[in-house]
Amino acid sequence: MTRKFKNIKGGVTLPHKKGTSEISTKILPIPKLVEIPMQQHIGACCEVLVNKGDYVYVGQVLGDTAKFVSAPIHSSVSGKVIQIKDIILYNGSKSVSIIIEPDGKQTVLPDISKPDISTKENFLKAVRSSGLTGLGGAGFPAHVKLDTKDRIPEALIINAVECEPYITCDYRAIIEEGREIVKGIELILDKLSISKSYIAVEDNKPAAFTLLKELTKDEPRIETVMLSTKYPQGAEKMLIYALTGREVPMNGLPIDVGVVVMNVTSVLALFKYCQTGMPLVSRRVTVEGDGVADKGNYQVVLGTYIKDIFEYCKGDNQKTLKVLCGGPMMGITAESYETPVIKQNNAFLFMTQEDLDFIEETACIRCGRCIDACPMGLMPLTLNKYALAKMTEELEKYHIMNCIECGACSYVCPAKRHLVQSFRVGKDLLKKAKVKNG
Amino acid sequence: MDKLIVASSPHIKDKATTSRIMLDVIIALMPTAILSVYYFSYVAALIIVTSVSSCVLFEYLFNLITKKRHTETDLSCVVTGLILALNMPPLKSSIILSVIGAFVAIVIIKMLFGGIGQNIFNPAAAARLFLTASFSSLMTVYVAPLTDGITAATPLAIPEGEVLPSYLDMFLGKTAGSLGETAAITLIAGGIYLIFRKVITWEIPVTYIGTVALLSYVFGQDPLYCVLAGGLMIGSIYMATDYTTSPMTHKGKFIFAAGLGLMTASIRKFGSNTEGVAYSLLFMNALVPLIDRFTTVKTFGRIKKK
Amino acid sequence: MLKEILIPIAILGGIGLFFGIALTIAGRVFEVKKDERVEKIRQILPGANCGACGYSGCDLYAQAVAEGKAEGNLCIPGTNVTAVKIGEILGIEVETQKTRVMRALCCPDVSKKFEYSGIKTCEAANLAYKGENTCNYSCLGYGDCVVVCPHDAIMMKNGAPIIDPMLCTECGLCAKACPKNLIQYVIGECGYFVACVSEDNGKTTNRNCKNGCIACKLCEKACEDDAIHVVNNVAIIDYDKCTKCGKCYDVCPKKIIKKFCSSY
Repeated sequence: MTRKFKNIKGGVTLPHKKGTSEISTKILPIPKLVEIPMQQHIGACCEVLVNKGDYVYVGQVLGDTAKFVSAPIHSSVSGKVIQIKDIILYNGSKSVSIIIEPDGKQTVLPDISKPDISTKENFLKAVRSSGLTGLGGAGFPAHVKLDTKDRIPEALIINAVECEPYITCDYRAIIEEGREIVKGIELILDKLSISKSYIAVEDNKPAAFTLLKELTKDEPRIETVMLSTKYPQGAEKMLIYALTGREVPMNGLPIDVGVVVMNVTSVLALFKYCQTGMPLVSRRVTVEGDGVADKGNYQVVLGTYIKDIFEYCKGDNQKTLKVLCGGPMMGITAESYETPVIKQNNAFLFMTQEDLDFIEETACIRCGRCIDACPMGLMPLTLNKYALAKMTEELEKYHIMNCIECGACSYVCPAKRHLVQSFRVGKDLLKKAKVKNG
Repeated sequence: MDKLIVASSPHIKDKATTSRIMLDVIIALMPTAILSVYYFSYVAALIIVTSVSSCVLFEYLFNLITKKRHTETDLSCVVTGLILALNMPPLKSSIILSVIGAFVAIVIIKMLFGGIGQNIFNPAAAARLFLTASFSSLMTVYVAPLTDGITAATPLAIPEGEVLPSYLDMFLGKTAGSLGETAAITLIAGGIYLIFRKVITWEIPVTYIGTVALLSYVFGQDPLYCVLAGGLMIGSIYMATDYTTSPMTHKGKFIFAAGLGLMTASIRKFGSNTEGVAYSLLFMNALVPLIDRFTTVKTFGRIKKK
Repeated sequence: MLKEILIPIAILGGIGLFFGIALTIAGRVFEVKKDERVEKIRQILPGANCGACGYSGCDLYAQAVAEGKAEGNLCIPGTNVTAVKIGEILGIEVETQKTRVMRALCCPDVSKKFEYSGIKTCEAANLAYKGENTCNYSCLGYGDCVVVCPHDAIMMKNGAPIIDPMLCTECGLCAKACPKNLIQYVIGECGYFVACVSEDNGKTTNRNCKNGCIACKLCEKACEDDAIHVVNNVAIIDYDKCTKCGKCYDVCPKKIIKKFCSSY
């Protein structure tokens, strides 16, 4: 494992805007209604296991499926199931969500207890039962990621990079619960027989770096590393390249280059589950943007509507034009305030006129800045041309499926072209063409 | 409560726009334009004004007639007009010729090929060559600077045996030539400004000029004279670096510039005409799609076939 | 002096003659044997290269038909006339297509869920929560169908595409371009079609769109030929059984069943 840290290829320097980093996390009160969708992860949708009218407890399994790439979904409140409704997700696919009316008592499921993690198999089963998915925004089920079968990873990389502007929830997790995070890392290293771990922190978070270095000074297996700040260094493949110089092969996984990457908040959630048996039912989110007065980090129960967070943080309806779930580079716009918090949401940004850019797109001038910005070595201007012309063979030849949709190309484009959106359309066309051709 | 806006990521964008980039190029060319008016008096100012306004007018009319969205505000027509003007000889006839040149550059070479970003050939260079071919007697006569219209030969066309201008004269622009190609000092200053503003990168100008210098030394000519003479300075810094007609990748830019240098040095040594820069530029413009095809960037994680 | 004129003429003429002979010989020796039926079939095809047959050009389709790889009745702009002629050239029986018309099965009166900002095509807009209209099945109005039509036969009117049957050749490119699959073939010279594809239940459809089919089943009860059924909350006409009596058209409370004719 090389000890040199590389700069990622391409990438852009963004303004940090980490104004909420020194505000300690507050707890949001239990809302009047929660909505829990059955698709909160990459993989197969969960099937509903409760009925309308049932009384559910905190930590009770609401949905699960036997398919491999999935994770169970638990109730974050105690109360009555009042509706099971059909919903459309942001990408147009259909799913189901369960609406629960909390009774305010937060009664925990009686048989919740510390899980058995004596062997590796039991540990992985426990990870699955906790419902843990990638809490950094990706949403990949953790037990699938950690189950590397015969291949023992050379290192566990802990992603504390948090490269997107505005978001500070991982930073607050380190400052407020750093000790538990380190214990969680040690737990994973023990259970999966991994010999080394690296915690990657960017240089715009010096306090987190110092704290983690202090907490791990007696643990030789964990090394805290400071990387220079560049977007999108927090993306899994980019981080692996920066730390180790290894490129994850196309269509491959990090284990193909001998590493496993976990987000620092995911490690914290896993440690807490192994201590108490309480599955993933609440999380820390950053609330930012000029549309709200009380910016900061909040611990919310999963299923809380954005509307409730907005009102609690004294949001301004007239000023707020866009609601982003996630950061400004990769976040998804919510179609209404009646959208619930799901496992992988790490921030909610309430953007106003000042934050947004309304310039219309103009013709591509072939300046090539997008090629310099792309961290995956793609040619965005060529892909954009072919995606708009619906030429699927060329899209495949230029590896459009490798695009991680980080948005660096659209950020630098002087013609303000909708590059990432055209790639999404192009990927959709390519998938449909492949299905048609068999 | 108004409806929320739904849009695709990313939701923040960099401040650079096409018109800001073009404005930077105009600012970089301003010193050269002002110096040309100093050397060649009011004729130069008229040529520049006519050329720029014709380019803007023709683009506006084309968009109006073809019912397309108006693109004059991205200032690329102003840049084309300015570079075209700086390529014209400082004669009264150039004022009318620049209007014709503007028509060829904007309507034929740029808009009919699809507008900005789609043209294959550099509009200003192509228009310059069109005018030279069509009105050769009016385009190959030059005047000495700071005089009242006394004809003189450009540094590349001085007959054998006559006195050559000094390096300092050529650097400061005190030689005959088109409006913008003589004063290396302002051209280089503008180039440094553009590199500092990240509008152009060093690859093309440095490689082009370096190749010409090297090859002219190999061919037995004076390298510094060759670099300062003719349209090399303006061509390498402002015309070869045009985004649309140069390769997209850094590797491609090196190959492009090396090819330009080879052709220019060869035309100057073995050919008899003095338009080496413009001809080699158009030739290499035609090769740019081919260069782009063979210099794609390496995709992350591509497994090399064994 | 004469020599100076004659020698260049002789040299150039000689070179021209040499190359002329060489090309003629090469043309005969290296000639590619072509099936003459391919040429005959290609002559009777319309030459629009529209792609409706599934091949990317009339040349390729002619080749495929002569080789027996494709059916002779796939050329839609050519209509049944071409199919019959192809049959004559190949000496086989070619099945003819029934008359059909293309219609957009949508007549929207919807409001917006949110403001969409981005690439203004139906394909892109559909990827954002299935489009900005309250009805998730409705036409988005950005005109992907208008752009792709090779005969300029489509116009957007009142939020849905109107197809001019005089210009339409039923090539089907608009149907392939629509991400909501709204444009479909309607069989027959004249008759009726249901201008809605919404699979939402009646209450939801009524809330989302003032015009949509609410699956009330009055049409199904009125039909005496068993030709119209409500399947998945929307009425669908079976054109094999429809006698075009118009009873469904009369009883529909939403007036979502429309008339069509291949001439207007």
